[in-house]
Amino acid sequence: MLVYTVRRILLTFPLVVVVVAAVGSLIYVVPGSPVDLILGDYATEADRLELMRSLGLDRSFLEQLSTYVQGVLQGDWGVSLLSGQSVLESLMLHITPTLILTLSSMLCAVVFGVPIGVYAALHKGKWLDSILMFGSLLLVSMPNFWLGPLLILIFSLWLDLLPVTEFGTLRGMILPSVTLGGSLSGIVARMTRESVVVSIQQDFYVTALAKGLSRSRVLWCHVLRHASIHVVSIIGLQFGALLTVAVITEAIFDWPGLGTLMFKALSERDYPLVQGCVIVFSMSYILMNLLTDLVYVKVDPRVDLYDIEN
Amino acid sequence: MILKYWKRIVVQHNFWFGSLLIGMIVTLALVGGAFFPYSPEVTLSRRLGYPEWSHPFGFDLYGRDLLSGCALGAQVSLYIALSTVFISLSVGTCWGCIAGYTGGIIDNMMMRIVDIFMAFPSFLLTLAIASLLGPNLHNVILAIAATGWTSFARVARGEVLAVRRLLYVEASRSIGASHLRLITVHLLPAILAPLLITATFSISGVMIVEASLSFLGLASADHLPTWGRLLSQGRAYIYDAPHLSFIPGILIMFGVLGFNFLGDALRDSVFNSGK
Repeated sequence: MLVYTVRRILLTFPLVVVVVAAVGSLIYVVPGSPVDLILGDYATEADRLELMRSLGLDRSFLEQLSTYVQGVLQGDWGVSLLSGQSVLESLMLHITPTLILTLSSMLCAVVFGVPIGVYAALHKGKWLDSILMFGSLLLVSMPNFWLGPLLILIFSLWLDLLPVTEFGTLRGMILPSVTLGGSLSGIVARMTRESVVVSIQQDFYVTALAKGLSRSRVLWCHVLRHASIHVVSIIGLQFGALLTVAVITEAIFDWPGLGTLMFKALSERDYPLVQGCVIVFSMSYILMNLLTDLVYVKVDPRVDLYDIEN
Repeated sequence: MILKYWKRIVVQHNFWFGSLLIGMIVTLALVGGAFFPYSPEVTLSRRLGYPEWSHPFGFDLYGRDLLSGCALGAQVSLYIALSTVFISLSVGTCWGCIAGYTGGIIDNMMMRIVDIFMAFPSFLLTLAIASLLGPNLHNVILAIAATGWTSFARVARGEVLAVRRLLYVEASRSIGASHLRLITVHLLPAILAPLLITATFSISGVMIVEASLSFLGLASADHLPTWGRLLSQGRAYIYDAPHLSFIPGILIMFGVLGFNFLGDALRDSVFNSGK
């Protein structure tokens, strides 16, 4: 276990470097140069050359790239082209709201998804099962920039129950979290149903019942442990999707997180800030994949580490 | 492939339901221009108007017929989704076939490149590429395809690895078939089914991504009424005219749901899982 964990963690470092390098070279695919953006159309040639030199744009591509990668790894993420603020600082300011939103929507997906999946599995083939599964497929297919306004319309405008957006309070977090977690809870429900259906056909289920355990105990301790393997892996795998959807959800609810920051940076073509955001999102994505792999081994006794290590 | 599985496909409810939804969207796209000849003129008197008999979807915030806008949106959405998936499918299949067929170091290197692409949250990369390239229909296709091809490469390589040692491939090689012939005549048909299933699901994925991009205003600068754009315009008037955001949202959902159902039906009939 230790060897596997260490090796898996070490393997992510080269990946991080490559990702940073890829993000660093992203601005070279862009038409136009940042110099035009900062100075506008009426700058003199001398000013342009001066600025190019100070930004390091006159050097070769590889030189610039290696400077960028080294800088990022040492904590120097550049400064925003428009505000002149340090990129790392503004990222730090915006990262907590995004984390809160993402975690609460994951929680929301599990709280809604798992019971629905279990309930549907126990009523497999009946009309209730069909309705629940149809509903969860509907949730999966519902774009969240539609779900968001819909929830606002119903709960804030018509019923007047919840505030549209109120950062910092629990009530204000409900609508954004449900919007973000909606499609994930559909996915979790379908996944849970599938794995519970498979589990209750297996020998360990019959054995546990036969030795006299109550039905609910078997369900909670045996079947759900089995199902949790799939739920953990699906939530981990969907984390990337969740982050991306967070960009849109934040835009809808005016949530002061990374998504809003990135969207603003994109529309102002503030390259260093965009790069910073993409790096942070990718890092958390890589980290989440790592965690998923490690937790997976922990939860599923059947994953044979001997196989993986050799 | 379709013919071989046809009997198993047609008995699935998912298939008919999916086809129905896709059929509605396709009809809307095809018939749109011909049957809803309302001019895109601005008529402020019927601004945000509710649906009525001659205009079943109502009017948008410039007083234009929303049904005509949605029909154009259907054309754009289908065009982007189909061409993106076509590009990703072709690139990814070639990549995966070459990697899986060659094996060894080349395979390893090619798949590490795929891994790097998959290390990014794909939508963010798409978002960054699309907005840095500039808002334009073809840049959107390029940006989505730039991240979308990797899943096809994975599927293609896995399938090629599974078939390339089979006896009939070996036999063909032993009578002197070239690499190209082996790949195109013997391997490709064998791996077509899983690729087409992946393609069906990825059409619905692309539809959501495209709608999200145009919702954020990053998809087209040329004032095409895409569903995402209609929805984001309608959002500001959600209290006065909920149909403006409701109807485009339903259409997006129908498209996505339709291709998901179709994908489910294809998968279940090819792999016969559980049902």
